[in-house]
Amino acid sequence: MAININKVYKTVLSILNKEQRGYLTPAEYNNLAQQSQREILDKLFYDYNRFLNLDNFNRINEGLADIPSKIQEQLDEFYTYADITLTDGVGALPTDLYKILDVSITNQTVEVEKVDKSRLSYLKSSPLTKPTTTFPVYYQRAADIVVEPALTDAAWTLGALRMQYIQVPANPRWGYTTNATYGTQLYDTEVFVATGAVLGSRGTGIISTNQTVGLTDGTVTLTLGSDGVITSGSGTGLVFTVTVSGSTITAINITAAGTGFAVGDTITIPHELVWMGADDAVLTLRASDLYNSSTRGSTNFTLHESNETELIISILGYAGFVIKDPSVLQAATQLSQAGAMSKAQQ
Amino acid sequence: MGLLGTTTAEQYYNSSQKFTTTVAQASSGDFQLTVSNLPANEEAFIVYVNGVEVDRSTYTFPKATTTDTINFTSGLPVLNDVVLVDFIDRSLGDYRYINLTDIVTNFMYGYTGNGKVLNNINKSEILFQAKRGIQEFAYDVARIEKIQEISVPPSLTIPMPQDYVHYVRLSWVDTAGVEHPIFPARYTSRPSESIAQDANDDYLYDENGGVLQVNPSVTENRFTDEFVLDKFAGKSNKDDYYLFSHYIANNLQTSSSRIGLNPETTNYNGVFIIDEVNGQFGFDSSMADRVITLKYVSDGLAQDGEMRIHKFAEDAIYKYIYHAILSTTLNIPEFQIMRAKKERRAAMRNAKLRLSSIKLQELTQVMTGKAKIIKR
Repeated sequence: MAININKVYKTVLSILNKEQRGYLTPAEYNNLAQQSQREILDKLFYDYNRFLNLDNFNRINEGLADIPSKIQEQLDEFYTYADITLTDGVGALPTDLYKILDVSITNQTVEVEKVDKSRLSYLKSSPLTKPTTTFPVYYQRAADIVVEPALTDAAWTLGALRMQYIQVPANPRWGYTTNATYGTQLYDTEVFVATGAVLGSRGTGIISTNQTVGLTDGTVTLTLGSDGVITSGSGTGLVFTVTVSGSTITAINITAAGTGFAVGDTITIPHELVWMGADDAVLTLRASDLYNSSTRGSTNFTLHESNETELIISILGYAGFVIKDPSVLQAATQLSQAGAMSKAQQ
Repeated sequence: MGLLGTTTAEQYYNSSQKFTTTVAQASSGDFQLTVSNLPANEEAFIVYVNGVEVDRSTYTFPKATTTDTINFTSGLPVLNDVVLVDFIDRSLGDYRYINLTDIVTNFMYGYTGNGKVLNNINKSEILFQAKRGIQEFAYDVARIEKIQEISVPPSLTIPMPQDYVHYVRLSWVDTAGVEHPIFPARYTSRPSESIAQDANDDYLYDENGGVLQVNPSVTENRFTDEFVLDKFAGKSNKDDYYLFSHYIANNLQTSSSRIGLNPETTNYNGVFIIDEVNGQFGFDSSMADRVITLKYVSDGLAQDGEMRIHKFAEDAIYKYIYHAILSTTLNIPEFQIMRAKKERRAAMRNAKLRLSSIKLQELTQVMTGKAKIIKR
């Protein structure tokens, strides 16, 4: 269960605005949110280790008092896995890798052990420890892993490797639209897709080539890549509806954001689909049509719900710097230290 | 699922798996083996369809996407054809053993991890100690003696077995198949270096300055050509008047009755010499053309299939690994190491007792009527 980005923002703003201390803009908040989430994630590893040490001294009780398992659940929010295909024993690491938990053959019956590079020559040359298909090993490099023995051996028929790992969390983002009348920022509940098109009605501004002849009134749903709908870019997965009224296209409504789009990409709708005219209609994606280049789309925190208080305090602490109010920073620091103290008194 | 796995009794005792071809199998050509111990490759089994052996080129194993399936690529069996997969040289009685992979996996699960007696231990270290344990156990605790049967060639020399660590016993086999022990000759040897010398007894060298050697050595030659076992063993000739006039003839039937003889040499079974440097056994000339059996022990690691331990010693190997890791890890309290050492020793003793296979009934049978002191 992730923490809602809007809930935290509202809480932070309500604390900051008390006594008119200051205002945190969405852009500032998004930066601080990312910073705080990473900080808490990293701290979870140390907390987990510390409580396991206490567990080793029989100072942890079971059930609701089992703190290590609680922290493990907090870390589980970041758990994921990826199948890695090896070429001559080398496989690329996932781009969102934070900490590797385990590498095994895909059916997870044979563990591939991580070994220290400095000990590799001993390991490979000793007949008792030489890596085999039953006891394979790997070592890690900047962007890939090297498996010994290499998975090019015909005897390896169990497929690719499966890496279980803690992933780098997606950057939290408080997306919004601006009220045209009052200029207020309204929270956008749509899920942010980095290179996707903004969902909902895009108006007629997105239409760069419209048609007025031979169009039949009505609504038709089109999928990019199907029925001759093509793009000039590399985007995929876009689904949208075209509304024709009075022999012209009056509205474009995007129902699936797709991915891989960039500003200026065109989407061509073949005339055979909607109307009897001779020319195709063309949509051109503007900055406001994409999540990346607009303020639209939100991403919640990946952190566990139980980390919400810690998260708010952390953001408040950083916000104290932003709004240059030492009292906020001091209060946040005290709260943070109090939390740490209560944990340390286990 | 029990430890027997998916192998049925019929599959085990017949060492084969039988299929009656279904519609799906006739269509896909896929026959999935369900035995627990899958064959390593196509060489490890023969396929018969309706009792007729099928050419190996008509199927592949394992299939590219699955490790347990035989896939017919041509000549697919049709509906209700009986397909028999006959496993070759499948060893029976494997249930007695626990293999290396299981030893390491079980140890990892039972002894290591958060809250366990060993924390943050590398699997490769456990593998190392497990293999060392198998070696140690192979020497005495769970010793499996291998036996080679060899005919002694005219050279009177045989090579040590490929996986030889030490011999247990050498015997020659008579026409009734009974073994007669051969003992090592301590009164001769096979020099590993026989220095070549000139008439002045100066050493001879080659062009690189290395000392020249004589091969075979003079000692070996003399032993082969001149050694007469009968003389050495103290065998008496029938025309030896002195001997027959001083000893009761009946006592001469057994050489050990002769007073003053050396029991070590009073033996007609022949002798062998160990050439440690060259990895060979040599024999005296009386052994030529005789069939001998060489019982020896290996270290249990020569072949993948040998890397296993009898289940009687399973607990002992865990204790062995545990102690070995503790004693090579920094900052472990000494009392903890000593406790592990005691546990290991007790478990090994227990395993040795179990594996010594002392059966009361057999012991009773052997000892029945032997109301005398056992001297040897």
